[in-house]
Amino acid sequence: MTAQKEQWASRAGLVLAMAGNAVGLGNFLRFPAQAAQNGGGVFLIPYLVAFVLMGIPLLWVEWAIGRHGGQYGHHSAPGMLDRLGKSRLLKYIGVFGLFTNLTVAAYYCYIESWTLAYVFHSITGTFRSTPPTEFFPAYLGQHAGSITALPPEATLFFVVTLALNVWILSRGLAKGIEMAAKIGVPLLIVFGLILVVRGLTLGTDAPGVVESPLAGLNFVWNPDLSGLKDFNVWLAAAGQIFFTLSVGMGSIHCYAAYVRKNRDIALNAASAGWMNEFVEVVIGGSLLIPIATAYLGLAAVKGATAGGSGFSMGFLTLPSLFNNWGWFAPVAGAMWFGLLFFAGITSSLAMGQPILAFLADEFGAARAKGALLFGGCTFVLGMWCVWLYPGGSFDEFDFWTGTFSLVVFALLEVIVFAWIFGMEKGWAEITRGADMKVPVVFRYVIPYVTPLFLGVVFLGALVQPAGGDWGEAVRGLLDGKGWSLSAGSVLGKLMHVGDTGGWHGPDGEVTPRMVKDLTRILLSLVFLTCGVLVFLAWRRKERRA
Amino acid sequence: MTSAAWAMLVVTWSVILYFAIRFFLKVLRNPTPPEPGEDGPEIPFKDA
Repeated sequence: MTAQKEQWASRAGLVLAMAGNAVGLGNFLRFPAQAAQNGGGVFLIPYLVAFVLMGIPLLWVEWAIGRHGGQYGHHSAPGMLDRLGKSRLLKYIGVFGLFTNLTVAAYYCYIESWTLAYVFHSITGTFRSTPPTEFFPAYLGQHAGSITALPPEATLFFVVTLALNVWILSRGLAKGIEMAAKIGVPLLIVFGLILVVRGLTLGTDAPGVVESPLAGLNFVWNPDLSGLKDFNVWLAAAGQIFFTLSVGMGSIHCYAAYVRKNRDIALNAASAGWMNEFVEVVIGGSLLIPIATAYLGLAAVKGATAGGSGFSMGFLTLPSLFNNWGWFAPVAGAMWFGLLFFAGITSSLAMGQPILAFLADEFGAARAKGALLFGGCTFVLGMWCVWLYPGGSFDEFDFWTGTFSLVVFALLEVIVFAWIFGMEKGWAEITRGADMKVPVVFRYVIPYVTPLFLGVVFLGALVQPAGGDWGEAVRGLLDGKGWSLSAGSVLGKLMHVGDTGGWHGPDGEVTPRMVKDLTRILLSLVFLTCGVLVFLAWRRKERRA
Repeated sequence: MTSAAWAMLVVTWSVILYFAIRFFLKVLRNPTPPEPGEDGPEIPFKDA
């Protein structure tokens, strides 16, 4: 056995890997719909404000925590958090950094596998004969009235996607993750730019075109200034920034842990963050909605994005629309789903590495063994999502692990960094070796403004009122009518607002509520297991010491 | 496209492109490849 030091092969590779971690499916599917539904162009004002006051500071905090932890041989969140203060409890905050990566990877790899399947079916011309609206439910094995599904093709693509992730992870940081980012990120940008140019240059006399694609671009960018006074718009903008940067996961920490003590993190973090914004705003904002508008008309697109997600347009509508592009249709389909696949895999690899690092640092697991273990756990958890997808397991995973946990971890880590580790040491950590001048105002933004922003996002998710009308909810509370919780809020979900049924239906059949509750129990057990592993790892260290 | 939409698009794209290109070029101009023997983590992975 020979000990090998993991490190990034190049600085550009590190930045591309970090950008690839941040760039995900949400850049192309969620952002344009969010912008269009929240004031159009004016959404970009709170969005950029949130990026500067919450996104960039969080990136610097996470890079700093990561590089600091790496100096002590910690490449996953528990050890890094442990090093920020004297309390023995800090390492348990880092459990979020394991739990989130493992559980998000489980359902995220499933979505990633859909994109791979769609690349295959785009090339083979499936969507010429079968509309995606028929193909997709069949692919997922959905049947009316059933809460379970075991679709053979979706399972096969899921296993292939997982195997690819495991193989890349087992190759290590430089030969695996960095290489994948160096190929994937430029390719997804090129694919995106080609589709943007093709989409925006569609003439109104082209076959199938019913409206100018610029009408769609106008829908995304036309500013509705009243949005600036709307709390929901600010909440949506802060939420979008938060989720697009992949903060609050523990993956940025992990990648940064392989940066040398005196090497820059400030410029690297800023570069990766702005690159993500380029992909999201410039490419993501100019792709889906303009193309869909050209073929379906603005009214249909407005209806399809009403929920703030472009998911159905991306998977159910776009493949059909590409059929209007003649010989270019299979290429366009492969490019669209290919760019989604690259966006996905560069993110899922970032979820795997912290788990491998934890197993290596704390239990001495070899890289290949760690990658297989990660793949095995992801497969088991992912199959829960595959099997119970129609019952709502997938959405439960997405909400509790991909939304709620991230905000909790980010809020806790920024408080620990700024108030326990301390801003004096924290600022020195961020600026040491910096290749850019970090504006001193961030020394005050990080301890005060960023936690405030995160606190608002957290509260917004916790007690979101029914209909999203905060003014009405506050008035109701002051009038003694109580707070009407939205079914989609954290408390609303916990209390099953709007769901009066039990675990079994009138004929004794299992209901989605049972699936939701069992999924929550499963996730709680995973969190507990991660906590126990951290406990065992530290007890092992103490015994050795 | 309305002129207000064009204005929002041009201003936002300019800001984002300016910082994205500026910072990435700066990264490319200072490649600083890792060198063995520097201070830093010595632990990680073991290969059979």
